[in-house]
Amino acid sequence: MQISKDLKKNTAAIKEAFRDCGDIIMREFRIRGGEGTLFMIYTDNIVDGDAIQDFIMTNVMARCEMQGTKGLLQSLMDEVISIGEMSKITTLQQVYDAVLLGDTAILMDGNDFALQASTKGFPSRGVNKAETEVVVQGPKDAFTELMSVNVVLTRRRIRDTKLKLKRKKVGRRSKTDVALMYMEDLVRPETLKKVEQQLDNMDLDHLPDSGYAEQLLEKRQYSPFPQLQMTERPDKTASSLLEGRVAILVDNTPYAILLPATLNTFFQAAEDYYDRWEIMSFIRLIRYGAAFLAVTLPGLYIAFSVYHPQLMPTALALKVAATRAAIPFSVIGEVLIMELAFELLREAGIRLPSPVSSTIGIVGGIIIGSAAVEAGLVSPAVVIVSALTGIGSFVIPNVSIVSGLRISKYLVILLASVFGIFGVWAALLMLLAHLASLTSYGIPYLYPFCSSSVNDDMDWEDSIFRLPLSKMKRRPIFTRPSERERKGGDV
Amino acid sequence: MFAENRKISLRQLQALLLLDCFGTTVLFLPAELARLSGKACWVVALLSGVVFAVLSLLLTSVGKRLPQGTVVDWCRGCFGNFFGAIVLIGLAMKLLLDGMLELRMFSEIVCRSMLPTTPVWAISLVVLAVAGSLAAQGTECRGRMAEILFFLVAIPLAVILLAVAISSKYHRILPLELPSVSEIGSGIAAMSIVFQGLTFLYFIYPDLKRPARSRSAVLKSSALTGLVVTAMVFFCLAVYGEGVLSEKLLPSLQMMERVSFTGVFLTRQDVLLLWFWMASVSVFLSGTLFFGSLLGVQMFRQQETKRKTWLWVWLAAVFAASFLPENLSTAYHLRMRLALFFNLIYLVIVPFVLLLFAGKGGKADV
Repeated sequence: MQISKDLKKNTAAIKEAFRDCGDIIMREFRIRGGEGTLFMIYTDNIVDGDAIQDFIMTNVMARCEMQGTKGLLQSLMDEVISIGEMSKITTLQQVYDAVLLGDTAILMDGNDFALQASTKGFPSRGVNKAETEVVVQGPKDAFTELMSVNVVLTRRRIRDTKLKLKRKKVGRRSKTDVALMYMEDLVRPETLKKVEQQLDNMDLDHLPDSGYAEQLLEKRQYSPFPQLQMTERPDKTASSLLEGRVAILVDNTPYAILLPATLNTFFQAAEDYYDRWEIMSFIRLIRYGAAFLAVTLPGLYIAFSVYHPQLMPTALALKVAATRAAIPFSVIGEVLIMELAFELLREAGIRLPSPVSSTIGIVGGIIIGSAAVEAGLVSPAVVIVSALTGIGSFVIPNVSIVSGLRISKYLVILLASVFGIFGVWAALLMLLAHLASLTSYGIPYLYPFCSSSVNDDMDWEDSIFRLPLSKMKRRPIFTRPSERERKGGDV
Repeated sequence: MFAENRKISLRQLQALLLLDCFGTTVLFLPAELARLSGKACWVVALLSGVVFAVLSLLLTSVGKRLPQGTVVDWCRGCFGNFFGAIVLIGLAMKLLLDGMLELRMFSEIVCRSMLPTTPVWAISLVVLAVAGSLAAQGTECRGRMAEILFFLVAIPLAVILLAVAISSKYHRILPLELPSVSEIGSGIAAMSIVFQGLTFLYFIYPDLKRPARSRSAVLKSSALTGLVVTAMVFFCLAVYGEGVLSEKLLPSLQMMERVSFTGVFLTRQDVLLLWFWMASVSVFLSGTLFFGSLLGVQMFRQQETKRKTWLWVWLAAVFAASFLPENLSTAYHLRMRLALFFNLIYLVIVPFVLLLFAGKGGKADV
């Protein structure tokens, strides 16, 4: 509905729309003793009260006394209200959207437009340390729930006019702000186009979190493996943008979505580039080894204990058999009990308030560890296997890929339970086939372990190992082909 | 984008061919060649490898000369509708035969060495499940998988062969003997089963990114396969001598199992070495299933969406047919007889005729 020149009609419609909304503040100003009326509306507590007081109300009231109604609204925008971002809006729906966004709308009798002044002042918890992507060396700041803050944290790391930001609103009711950030000269145009189309076509009531967007943007939603990467780190986001990737920031979420993503990107931590290449290459190898253990160790234990004890050295086989002598459960049952108990502990540790969670760690360790072994319910070997499996999954820097590995582990356990080591191989081949079939915006998920010839095998330099920074002269596959060479010879 | 376009690179083609060729036959071959040609078995293997490397050029040349169309179009254009259909049915039977025998033999070997109480059909089902999941994803997925598996197979295999080479004594090889013509002929016939993967060259051309450069890539793969097989035969002969070798059941596996790495955690490496064949058999079977289903779609001129239906048909057919041989020995002898016949037709005669047809300006019936 267009804004009418009759302010009474407008205010009636606005009051009806915001009926029973106690946090919507509506204020009328009389102009020069009744010549006209100004109507101001904003949402309490999500605006910057000082900005409204100092930059709008005081100035508007002063101007109302000096100037008559003629051209007042336009002059408020051009000369009076000293707020950086102001615009004209012409429909009542835009007024509602502006108010709910934290802006202030000003309407006036005799004008068929309103002013929208940016007065957002959302409560926010400030920039804190990263919680899920902790580093020893490197910046510690992390994204917050405010998209504007997240944009700032990214922009201060890339002071280049080529860093573009496109804003969109997603969600019919939530109208959540979404920002698409990319380097104009580095990003693949087809990737950007596809992402924009997907965001424009996203039809949902509410976008509460970037995790929603991540799942809707993925091509293979039934796969347990994430095809987009989430990060809470601005430095990682900036680095990814400079590799030609696209970052999506969603308001109310302290996580950015990075795309495209390959399996290799999930094993790269931010601090891999802040320390020396030898140690970081070693740690990368450990991560891949840990991922392999996290998926296969329980299955291998079952295979060796049940089906192929002859594969183990005799002393070890006898030791394992001796510790299992009085256990009432089968090996498969033992492993499943321990794995599920570990999953329970893991989930409990996340949900509990921090003062109590450390207690759970101790209690869980005691119950699952020594008490269960002493009671003869599980063997010590299985406790070690489960612990190593869990530790292996914690080594991987990205939480979302760990979820995929956790689920895959049960496929390996199932097939190992029935077919021994042959079952482990079959499970691994099925997993590999599934991973080989995944793509992320046209990039094979297993890149650079396959199809690396496309970029002359240069992406191997930052995969299982990392070459010295001075040797990494090419940008990865995410960048458009013409910009693969880093200019100037520097990294 | 370079992915999601149903095209594979030359590197992926080479990896696929190498894995397709490195099948269960390699496990038995040294013993078979030793029976056929005694001490000259490794020379026979070497010469056979050269022959098949050259023969691989036949099919690649056909693809180069008839870049338009599929194998169905080639056969219909060259042989006419009726005889073309017979040739294509024969090709389908070859795919089925190769697949079912490979599946049966591998399942029997796994059953004997790893899972003596597990029914063979259960093992076959698992292998087919792996191969089927790969075949369902298409050529690109097979190519990527082969590229990764190649390193997981080739590097450990190379290390083991190097260790065998260092630890072996070579007095059983000497004196050097050369094979007779008949021994070479028999050896080539036996070796043809190793190169069963070349059959897939009938289908692969539409899926290549750079078909014009495929000849050298295929030649290198075939030559490398021949070299690897020759190395395995050579080392088996060095380790066992011709008399003992000709009596062995799985000499390749037993030869590699003799290598003992200091500090290795596990005993009985032969069980773990079967991983190489698990990988190659899965890739080969996925090729059988994928190209078999593709052949069905193309022969009946159906939509690409019907391929999944044909895949299920082929899965059932390969599984059911794999139980025709009574046991491992029957499967092996069946393979040595029937596979030779089909390989002669489809690796030599049909490509030669197609090449003549293409050379005379013939066009595919697109």
